[in-house]
Amino acid sequence: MIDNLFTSSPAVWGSLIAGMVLLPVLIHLINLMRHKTVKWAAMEFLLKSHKKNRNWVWLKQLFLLLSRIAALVLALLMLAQIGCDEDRISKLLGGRTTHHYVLLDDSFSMSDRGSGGSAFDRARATLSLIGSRARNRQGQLFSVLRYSMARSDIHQSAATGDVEATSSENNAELMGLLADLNGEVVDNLFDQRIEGVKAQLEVSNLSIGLRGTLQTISQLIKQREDENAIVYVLSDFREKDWGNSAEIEPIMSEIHATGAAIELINCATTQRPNLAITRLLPVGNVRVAGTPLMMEVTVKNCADTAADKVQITIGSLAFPQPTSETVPAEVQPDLGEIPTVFIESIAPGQSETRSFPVFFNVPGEHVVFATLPEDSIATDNERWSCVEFTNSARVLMIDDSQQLHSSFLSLAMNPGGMTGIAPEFRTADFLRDASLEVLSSYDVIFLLDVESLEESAIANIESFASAGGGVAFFVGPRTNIAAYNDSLYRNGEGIFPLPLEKQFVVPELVEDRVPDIAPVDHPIFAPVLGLKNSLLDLVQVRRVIRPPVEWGFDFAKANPESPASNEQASAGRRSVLATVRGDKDLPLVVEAGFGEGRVIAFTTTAGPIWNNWSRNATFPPILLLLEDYLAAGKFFARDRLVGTPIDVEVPSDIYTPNMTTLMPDGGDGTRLASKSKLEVSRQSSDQLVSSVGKLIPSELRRETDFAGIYDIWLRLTDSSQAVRRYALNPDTSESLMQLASSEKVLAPLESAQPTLVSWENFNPEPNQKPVSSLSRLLLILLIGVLIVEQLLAYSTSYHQR
Amino acid sequence: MPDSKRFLHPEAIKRIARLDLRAQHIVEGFLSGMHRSPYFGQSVEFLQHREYAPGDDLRHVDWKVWARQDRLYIKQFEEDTNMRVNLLVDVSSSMGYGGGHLTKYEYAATIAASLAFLILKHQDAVGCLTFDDKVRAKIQTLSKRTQLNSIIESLDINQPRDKTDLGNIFVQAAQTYPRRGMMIVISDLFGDVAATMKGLRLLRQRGHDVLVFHVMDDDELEFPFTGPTKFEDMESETRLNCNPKALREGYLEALNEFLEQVRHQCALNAIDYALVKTSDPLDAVLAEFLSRRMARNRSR
Repeated sequence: MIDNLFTSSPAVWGSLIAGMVLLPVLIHLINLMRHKTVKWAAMEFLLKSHKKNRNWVWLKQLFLLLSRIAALVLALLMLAQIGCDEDRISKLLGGRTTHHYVLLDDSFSMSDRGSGGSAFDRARATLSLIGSRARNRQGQLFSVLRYSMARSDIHQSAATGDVEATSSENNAELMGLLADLNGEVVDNLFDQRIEGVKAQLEVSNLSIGLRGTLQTISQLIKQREDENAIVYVLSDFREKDWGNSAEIEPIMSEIHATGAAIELINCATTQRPNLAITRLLPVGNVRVAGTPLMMEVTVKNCADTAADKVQITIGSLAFPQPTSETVPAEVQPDLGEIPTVFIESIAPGQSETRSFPVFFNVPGEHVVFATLPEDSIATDNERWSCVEFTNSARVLMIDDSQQLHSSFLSLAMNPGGMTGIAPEFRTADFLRDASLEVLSSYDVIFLLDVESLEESAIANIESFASAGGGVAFFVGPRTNIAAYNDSLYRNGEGIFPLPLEKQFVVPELVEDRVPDIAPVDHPIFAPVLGLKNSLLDLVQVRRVIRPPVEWGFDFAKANPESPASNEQASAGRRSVLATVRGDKDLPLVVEAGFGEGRVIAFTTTAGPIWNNWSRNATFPPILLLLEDYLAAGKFFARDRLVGTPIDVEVPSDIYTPNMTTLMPDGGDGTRLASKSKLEVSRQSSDQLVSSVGKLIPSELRRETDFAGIYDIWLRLTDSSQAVRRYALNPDTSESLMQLASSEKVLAPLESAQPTLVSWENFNPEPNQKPVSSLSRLLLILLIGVLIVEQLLAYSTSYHQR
Repeated sequence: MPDSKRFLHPEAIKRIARLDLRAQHIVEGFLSGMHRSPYFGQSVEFLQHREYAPGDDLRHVDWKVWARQDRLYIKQFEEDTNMRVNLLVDVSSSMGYGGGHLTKYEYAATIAASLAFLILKHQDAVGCLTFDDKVRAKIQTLSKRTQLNSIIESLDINQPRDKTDLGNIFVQAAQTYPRRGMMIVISDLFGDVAATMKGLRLLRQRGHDVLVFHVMDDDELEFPFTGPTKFEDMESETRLNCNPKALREGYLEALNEFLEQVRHQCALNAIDYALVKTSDPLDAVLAEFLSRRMARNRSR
């Protein structure tokens, strides 16, 4: 009760202080009334003394009175804990209605489990303590909002319109949709309600920061001017989120400016070891059934101690091809076993990557998954990857010279039909007439000594490359240099990587022979790099078409000491991958990025006309790597993160609007299926679109909030079915376990004056907090005043000897 | 060791209601502790011989007898009866204060009665004068046996009253007792010091030996009061509400100045002065008197 009293209006404070002042005066007057009477003979001497000491006695009495008033007022201030850390909260708990906003971090790092339970368990327990703080007072409201529910995309999904709600009513309505508890009045039944909410709270698979949640709450607090507000942030305060908390400082300052208090409650205790699979992707781009595909798995050690003898269990799920009768929910994949990947040791904070082959007999969208042994966080111990396998990797070869060149290339690419690459031979006319859809079925297009291309053919092949397709040019005697420069190079804007000037006969060397092909460090030359006396050295290049001498390319990129990047060639970037005998004026292989695709030009022939490379043993492996490298743009592997929507867009003339979505396995072997309809796209009426990842209001989450495999089953107009398979993985930046120090958390937030306490030190009764420095000062002053008061009282004879 | 004079302490004396009995008790008690020849002083009429006993004054040894008989005898004489002692006893209101067993008045009256008893026992003449601002009672100086009763009657008043006017009283006393003798003043001497001393000087000028017993209560000398106290003057309507402790130092300073002034003036005027506290045993006062008396006799 006393805290309520002290946090009341200034009138109460005024009355208390007036009382403290009047009380000693009253006591003093009463004491004077209670004097004893003595009949005295030696009055003369007493009067003399009185006359002499009257002023000093009066002064001492006054000091005594003042010291007593001061002692009482100081005691009152101490009881009110003036200047205590919790004074702000104490103040907010009294007077007007107080709204407790609990912001609960449910990102998956909160699942960090030790012997005493997880950080999320501790957050749940602290939620009860906050509830008890509210329960002990009158006029309290309670709201609980999880981080995962205050994402901006959730806002948009939940709001009635397309735009984010901004008005007071809409914000309140939004809060009603998103919050686990929204402005609940704390009454006798509050305990039951909060226990019910606690039972439903679970850690998500998401990685979310505080910003969105804080913004939502900030707007509400600003609108609810008639309430006191206390904002509690229950989180694990990791370095990754709180190492630089400056980005949330403006929002916190806004909240602070409304008069609200902010309490940060740390639910993490210690930093435990944690390994996370941060990457699981195919590295090969020839994805053909019956042909092995290399994949890479990367494991990061997120702890500050080394991890030894790490075993990664790899598995595959081979799905059957869908038929018109297939029931999506009943599809059972074949589980394949792949040898365990072993990593001897991973240094703290470092990642290790290992490659391994996967093999599927039948085409289709298959799944590869990797699993780590159990550690403190389970969510990042599993990762999935979907890989589409086809019957063959289609490669288009444009050769107008009676397959003089293409025959060598096709033989090199698919020796004995083992590589899965299926070359098709066409003339340049095919390029002119082919649609983009037809061209997109090819992984790579080879143009082999094509004289020139018509405008439509150039447009088609440039569109193909822009969309991620790979293009390889080989020139030759038929090449029209002027046409190439005008139509394909176009001063650097076209698809051809370099301008051409004239044919150049490479002189024969009699003595001091050097290899004709001088490659740089690049993936396509991997088989011969670093080898002395490799077979590539035997290749003779007799003629090339050289670029103009003044054409300057960034030769530094062709320098073997500066290896070309393995990453996809970015648009506009040109680099020389090989030269003739190291002569920078005679580039032999030039690479350029074009849109999403990659383009590589050879300044000599593919067949054995201007060189004898096609008869050299290094030709097939380098050509296979070339095909793989060029196809990378088409198979650009990217991770989809949990929580992101899956957008589906299909042509309306081929697909019906019926769509079935299969959710990830919930752990019991079953996958929930939900049916929905595709809608006609607003941009194009011949496209049907849909998006998986809407808010599920009843469960307060999005459809894509779980890590795992999502199937989108589509029905075609010919009654057959197609399936698109997606792997959604957790954002492993959340796996970093380093805890942020209190200083790092609080220093950037100084203007918002939040308090940071460990969950075990959270005090439901702020008045019981240790005294602040001001309270300590008040205590010292009080003791001093009491000593002075005693001395004065003693000297003014109110104490018996 | 038992206190042989415990019955002379004020708390014991207070139990004796009658002043004459009180005086007798004191004097007898006092004398019982002295040597065996206190009654015999110097006189012209020989009374008897007595064998010497340790403690006897050697001046009284009869050397002629010793020469004849080789034994020590002392000569005893009838005492003088020509000593005239007048007791001037203050019975003003201020004497009514008493913080202990006896008020100053009771103590002063007891002293006066005891001295009268002792003086009459020595067959000297004794008179008494009680006063406040005026002379209240006046007993002529006589040595007859009934004199004690007269003195005790004059001392035995119900209640001290009125102020003191010592200067005027001493003038009247000088006129009342014109024959030279010993004037014993028993008072708290509160009043105008200069006037008081003027009166005492007058007595000295008239040839009197003056002995002042300055009676003070312990409270007056120590001022032990604490706590809020209202002091009411016993001789006027003056009231003072104060914290005694705060005034104690100043009070004692003023009091000591007064005592020092009185003591100094008495010394200047050859007046014997003794400050007696109401808590002191009464025999001390008698001893003081006797020592003065012997000193007086020696000086003759």
